[in-house]
Formats: sequence, C-alpha cells, structure tokens
Amino acid sequence: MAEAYSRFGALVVRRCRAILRDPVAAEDAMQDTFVKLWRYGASYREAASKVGWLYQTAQRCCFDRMARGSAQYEVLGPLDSLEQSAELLAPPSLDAWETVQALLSRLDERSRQVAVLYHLDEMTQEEIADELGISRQTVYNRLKAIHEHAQRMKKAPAGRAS
Amino acid sequence: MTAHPRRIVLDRFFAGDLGPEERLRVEAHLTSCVECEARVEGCRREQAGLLEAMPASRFAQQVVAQGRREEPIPLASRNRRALAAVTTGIFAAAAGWFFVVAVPSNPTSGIRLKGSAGEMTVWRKRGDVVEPLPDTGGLRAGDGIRIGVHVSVDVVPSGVAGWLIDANNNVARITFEPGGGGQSISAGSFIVEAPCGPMAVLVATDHTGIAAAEGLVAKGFAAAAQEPMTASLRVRQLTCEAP
Repeated sequence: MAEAYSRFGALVVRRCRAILRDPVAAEDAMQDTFVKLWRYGASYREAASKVGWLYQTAQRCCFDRMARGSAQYEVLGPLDSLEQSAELLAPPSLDAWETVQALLSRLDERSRQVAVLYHLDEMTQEEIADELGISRQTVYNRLKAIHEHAQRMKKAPAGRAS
Repeated sequence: MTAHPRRIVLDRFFAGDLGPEERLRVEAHLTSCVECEARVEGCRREQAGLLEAMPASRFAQQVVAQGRREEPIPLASRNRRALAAVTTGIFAAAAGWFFVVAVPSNPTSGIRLKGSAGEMTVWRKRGDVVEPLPDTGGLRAGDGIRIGVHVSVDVVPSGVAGWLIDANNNVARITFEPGGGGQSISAGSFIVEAPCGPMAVLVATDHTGIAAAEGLVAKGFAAAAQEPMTASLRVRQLTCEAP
C-alpha cells in the first residue's frame, strides 16, 4: 500500500483532479482508490499495468462521487440514432477536455467512460470500442453527442447548460 | 523527433510501469522532446510534494482505517441498521492480548477443532474493557463486539463466513481474517447503536454450513433465532441488558 502510494499517488490524484476538477474531492477520490487497492489487492497484483488498474479504479471512484453529488443525468438525445457525419470529431486534447469535463457530471456512465478514454487516455475510437465492448459506431455517436452538447454549453449564457 | 507518446504512456514511464522496450523508446523520445520531459518532470515534482504533505505510512494507515469503516454491509436499509461496522482500530489497544485470552471450552463433533477451543466467541468491548461475552451477558448501546471463530488449522479463511442479523432483519456480513493458530477474527468490529435490540450471530465453517446460513439469513431473524447449534453452523443469540 505505502509502496504503491509512493510510486503512483501523484498520478492517481492528478487523474482524479482531471475528472473532478476539485482538488479536495480529488484527494478523497484518490483515497477511495487506494481503499479499493487495499481491498482488492489480488486483482491489482495480477494487472499487467498497475497504472492502468489504478486509473480505471480512480475513474470509477470519481464517477461514484459524481453520482452522489448529482444523481440526475441529463439526457443528451438519442445517442445511438445519430447519423454518422463525415465531419471528424475534434481530436483528443486537454483543451477540449476542459469543456467536456464541465459536462461530465450530467452524462450517463458509459458516456463518461468514453469521454475519459478519448480525451485523457487519447485512445482511438476502435480502442475504446474494444475496451468497453461496444461498437465503434456507438463510441462515435456518444463522442459526437457529447461534443455537440459541450459546444452548445459553451455558447449558452452562464447557468444554462443547453 | 519521434511522435509524442500518449500521456498514459508517459505516466507509466514515470511510474516504472513499462516493459523494457517501450521504456527505451520513451527514453529516446525524451532526449529530444522538452514537452514530454516537462510532463514527466511535473509528475516527479508532484509525487515529491504529495509525499511531503502526506507520508506514505500515514496515508496507508488512513486507507486501512477507511477500508475497515466501509466493510460492505448489505443492509436492507442503512438508516434502519442496528449495527455499524467500524474500524478495527477501536480494539487496537486490546489487540495485544486478544489472541491469547483463553476461549471457553466447547468441544463438538463433526468438525475438526484446534484443541478444545470453542468454535465461536463474541468479544465485547465496553469502555476500556474487552472480554468474551458471557453466556448470560448482554449488550448495551455503545458496546463494541467482535467475532472470533476457532476452526481446524487447515480450514482456509475463505471457508469461514458470518452474519449479524437483528430483530428488524437487517444483516451485516462479517468478514473474517486469519488470526493465527486456527483462529479467524472478524475483520472489523461492530458498534451496537441505540436502541439496542436482540441480534443473532451466524458463523458457518464449511460449505454445508454456509448454504444453511444463507437460507437462514434470507428468512430473517426469527428463523435464525430458532436455529439449533450444529457443527458447521453456529448461531448465537445476543440480548440486550438495561443500560
């Protein structure tokens, strides 16, 4: 436990901060993450990538905290029925993440996962589809809906999300 | 200069979580990329700051304490619960003698026990006093209880399961940890909350007992209270006494 914290603590808290944008909540989520490591140590030890295991767990802890703070998700529209557009999605970037993050607490969990994997882990849509066991089309649709929503939110006056 | 590694790859590089080939590739990239080098250096600085603000040993203690507090308790309603799992630390002061106190003799057949030790002991902590709960003893709100079970030394801890069930049919799962010498101890302690009500402790030490216990837990307190003690399933009624 102490050894894992000494090696990975900064990465985990940084990850939590990127998702939650609240330094205090991020530290709490980091501690939640290490509690899970303490409880499910065997799974951690077997993981090929310790950082990968910790990031997935941290992400889950952050989402749990989000869910406790905001129980209602905003419906982003018929995600799976969007037409595929020839327009390419914005490439993953920390700048784009700034906007998406503000929307995160109102997304359903699957969309949150997609957004985190795309922007923070810079995974391709194919890799995300493999990771989550969903179709690439679904990944694309969710990213598109998230980004469109984020764009509308940016243009809307403060306090109005859409 | 080669293409930038992904952020997660740089993070894994910083943490020493990459295989040798990928590590060499990242090292080569860092020699010519100020941007990526800055990210890795930022991780180093943040890690040093984190350890200075919260040393690893103290953090580990906090994590374990939180983990013990949050032992899964599948209660029907947390608001109605009669018991709350709390950190084992409550009993830390007594831990030194916890494992050496004589356990009341209660030999049975049908299960291999270590010596003549009793198979289940309920420990009560009242104030600073920790003692085995006497057969005629009761509980009060504020008491702490912890469950110990003696089994054959060759029974793995996962072969021991336990439940606390109260008169409202709220159930707290007891997780056991090996305590040495064939003894398993509940991983956490439980605090009796006001108002104190009757409870039953179920401890199963083999698959047959576990299956039987799960059936009883599903039926609730009344069924558990009527269950006779068997070799593989131990049931003990806990009563309350006047404060």
